[in-house]
Amino acid sequence: MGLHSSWETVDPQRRRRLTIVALVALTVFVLLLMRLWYLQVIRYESYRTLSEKNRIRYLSIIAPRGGIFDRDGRLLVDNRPSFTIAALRKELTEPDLVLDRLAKLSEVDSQLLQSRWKAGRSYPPYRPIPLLDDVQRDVLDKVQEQGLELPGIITVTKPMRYYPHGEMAAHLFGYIGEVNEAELSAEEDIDDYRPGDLIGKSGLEKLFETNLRGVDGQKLLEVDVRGKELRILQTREPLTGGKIELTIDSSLQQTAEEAFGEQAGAAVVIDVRTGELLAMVNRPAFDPAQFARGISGDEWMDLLNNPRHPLQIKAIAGQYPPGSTFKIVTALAALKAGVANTHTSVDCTGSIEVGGREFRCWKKKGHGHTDLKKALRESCDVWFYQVALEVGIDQIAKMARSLGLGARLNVLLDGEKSGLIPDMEWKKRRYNERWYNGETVIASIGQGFVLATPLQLAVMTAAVANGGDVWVPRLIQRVEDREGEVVQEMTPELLNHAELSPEDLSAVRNALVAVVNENHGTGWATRLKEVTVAGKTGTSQVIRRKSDEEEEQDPGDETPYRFRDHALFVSYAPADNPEIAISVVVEHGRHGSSAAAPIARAIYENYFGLEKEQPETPAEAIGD
Amino acid sequence: MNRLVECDRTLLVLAISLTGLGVVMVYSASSIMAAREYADGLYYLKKQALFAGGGICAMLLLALCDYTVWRRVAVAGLFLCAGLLLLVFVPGVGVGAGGATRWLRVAGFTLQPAEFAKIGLVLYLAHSLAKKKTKIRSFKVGLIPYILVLSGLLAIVLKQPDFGSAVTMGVVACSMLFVAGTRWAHVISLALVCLPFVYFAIVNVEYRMKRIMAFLNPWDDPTNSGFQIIQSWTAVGTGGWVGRGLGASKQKLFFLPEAHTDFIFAVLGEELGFVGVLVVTAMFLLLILRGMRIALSVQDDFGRNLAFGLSFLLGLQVLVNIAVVLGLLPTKGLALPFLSYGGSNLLCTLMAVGLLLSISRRVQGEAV
Repeated sequence: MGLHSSWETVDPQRRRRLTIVALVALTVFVLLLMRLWYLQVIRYESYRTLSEKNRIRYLSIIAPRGGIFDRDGRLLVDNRPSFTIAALRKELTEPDLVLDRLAKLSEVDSQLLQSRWKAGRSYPPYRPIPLLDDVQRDVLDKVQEQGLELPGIITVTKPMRYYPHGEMAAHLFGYIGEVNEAELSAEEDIDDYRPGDLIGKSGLEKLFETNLRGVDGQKLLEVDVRGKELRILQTREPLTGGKIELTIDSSLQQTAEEAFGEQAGAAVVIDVRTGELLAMVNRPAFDPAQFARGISGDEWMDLLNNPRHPLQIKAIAGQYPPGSTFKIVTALAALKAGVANTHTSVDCTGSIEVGGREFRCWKKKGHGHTDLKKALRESCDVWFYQVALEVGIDQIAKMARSLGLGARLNVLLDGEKSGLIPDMEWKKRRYNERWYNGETVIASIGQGFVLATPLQLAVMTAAVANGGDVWVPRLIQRVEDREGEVVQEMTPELLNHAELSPEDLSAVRNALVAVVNENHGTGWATRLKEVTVAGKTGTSQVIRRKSDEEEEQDPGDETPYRFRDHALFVSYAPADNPEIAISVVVEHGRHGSSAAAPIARAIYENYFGLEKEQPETPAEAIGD
Repeated sequence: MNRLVECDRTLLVLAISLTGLGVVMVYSASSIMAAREYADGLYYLKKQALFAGGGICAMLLLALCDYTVWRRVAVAGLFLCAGLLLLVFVPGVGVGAGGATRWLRVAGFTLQPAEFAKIGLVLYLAHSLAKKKTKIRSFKVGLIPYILVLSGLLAIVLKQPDFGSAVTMGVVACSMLFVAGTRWAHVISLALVCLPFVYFAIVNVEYRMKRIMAFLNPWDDPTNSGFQIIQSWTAVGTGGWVGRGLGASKQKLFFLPEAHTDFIFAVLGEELGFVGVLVVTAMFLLLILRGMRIALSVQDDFGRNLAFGLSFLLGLQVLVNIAVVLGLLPTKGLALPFLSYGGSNLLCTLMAVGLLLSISRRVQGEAV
């Protein structure tokens, strides 16, 4: 039986259709053969040349990342050129010999070069494998002179992150590093990253990675047999990444950071009219340049093991008992509930008893007859104990939450914490226990369960200053793409509006002015001649674990650093027409009045353009 | 052994020769890379030889069986394939690589269910089309069920994502329907229904779009997306008339990514030259023609459909893979039957040939 006989038996339609399929397939086949003929026979010479006679070297030109600017267009994060000595996999045919030579020339351990050479295996074939980063001029000259002895070794210029202001605002920027295995396999979005590429690892560098990242360029070079560059065949310029503009005022930020000196803590400066963050201080900071040039294992361990946590963004991730600064909330809650008014007077004898336990005022001998204004001005605890018992924890918690405490504020930074505002239901849920009056008493002065971040305290203070508007704190002003087009322009966004009556507000505001500007006020250290500041100091107890106490028996008066109280100060100015609010937390700074308030003062002096003046010493030194 | 004698011996010889050539080429293309990565230059050779041995056994076994028995399990087989395709999404069983989850880990081997699904689909269509006979001209019986089956299967494959396999399966299904006598209008409308999916599958996924762009102009981005195709051209182009000689490819050293899998044809071109490539493509052509001949000769509808579907499947993969290597189609991730390294593909290719051989026995038998 031949093909023909069976062909006849197939029905005609099927025959027609098979013929069509066969014709299409044959056409494709012929096309492929023609293409093969073209590539292998016609273009043979040129491909052979491309592959052998003169070698082609492809080099990426690493694109600089976009700059980060402050609100006035001052550059905060820039790029500088750096030199890297790298190996070309295609041309480094005798790695052991050449790497040994290079190690001697540059006076580094040849093991180090070997391990970096091996680490580059996962790189794409044409990407030079970096052996020595950020090489100094003298080493570079030596290597270039000896070029012929080092076949396969090249020097490449790379942009490296540069921080003109050193450590300033380091936490906001975060840092970058080589993309790792986990990031590469994380998702498809990352498809255009290859091993060896840089990627934002934290802070704004991470959040705005897609905007900040540039597009690498390319250079096609013709090189001779010895690897010497003959000519550039083709260049495609790299595209610098898009820039972002912050709401930060770098001069204010700098002043605030300097004002902290050696102390640890955080400060937030917010525009009460828009929610823009003018400064966000986190101390101690780290040096982002360490990360830019590749942090060593030892440096990294030092940062991790530092008891003062330089890597933590304390302003948003540090949760502190707000101490007496919380009395603003308690006062507003009491006024709103009608439990107290400006004339409500309490006789402070230095302590009260609740549920069989004695709760003391910070001033042992008591404040005597005390009204709202005096209670805030001199930070009388007993007044708040009494009033809080009548208001109840739930009303206080409600007021705190309406002012932005107890929940995240959606600031555009990773790691924001929510703080904690307890109420009866929370206690039930968390500990399955009922709420005790004694807990209301300590919560009323911002101790016990209550926790807040410095950012929340600033937003809360701003809301008191502006009449109840709780703004989403904003760090970013504008984001541009690589072409310089504005892709994101941030506008003020209201998170909540706290319903506060004008009478209640002015009662509290007057008292806050008194804190700073009247005799016996605890906030005397921020008193300024030209501008009226309103504020509230706070001191929050650091909880001591029992075992620690036994270990750390301190014979003298000196409490060990880590058990000293935190110092807080929240404030705004000018009092009659507020522009900015500031919160300052000094870890283990002991007293808000002496440790935190002077920092706020320095910030106001800078903001209002005032001469630095020596604060007048108060009539009596006041604790809190 | 009598039964084997009845087979189409040309087809048998071609399949075994191509498999042998594949093992040699895989060794040539992978040995240096394998020595570097696994400290064993024979790493891929050993595995491929193992698959080749297993595959040839499977092929002979299938050739000896009566192919009509598979008709009874055609529908169940399709469901089994769909199940296996879904299994890759089960953590622990499924294996991911490079952003896709396409593999199953079975007894130390990784299997790619999509390869088996291709054969399963052909088997099912051959059975179903034979059963429906002339009813396939109707819209309700001849089109709707296939649209449902196909879209279900393709959805799973696209989810992995395995765009290349999905397109292959779609094209094979359409051509089988076409040859079996589905109305022109139906085939065209089926293709039209697929188009928007293809469009979104490309445009919505950045890397696919990039591959298309790289295919259109690789020199735009020679160190990244255009890299592979330029290296492939250079490999093929340096082959010339007779090539550098077996084992002498320079591109495979690491300039050509996937040298031992999807781009093995480029290594072949570089080492064996135009003449060698011509011989190999002629072997492929002959193999497919033998398959088509079986499809024409056999009297039973199921056998006819099956033989056509399998031959078309093999032919399509060969043409598409070569076209990709020569830069005529964008990179897809499709293997070259017989030659590319990969157990599932080789096993399935040989199984397809086994089925063809089994059908050819009936043809030869009838001739007596």
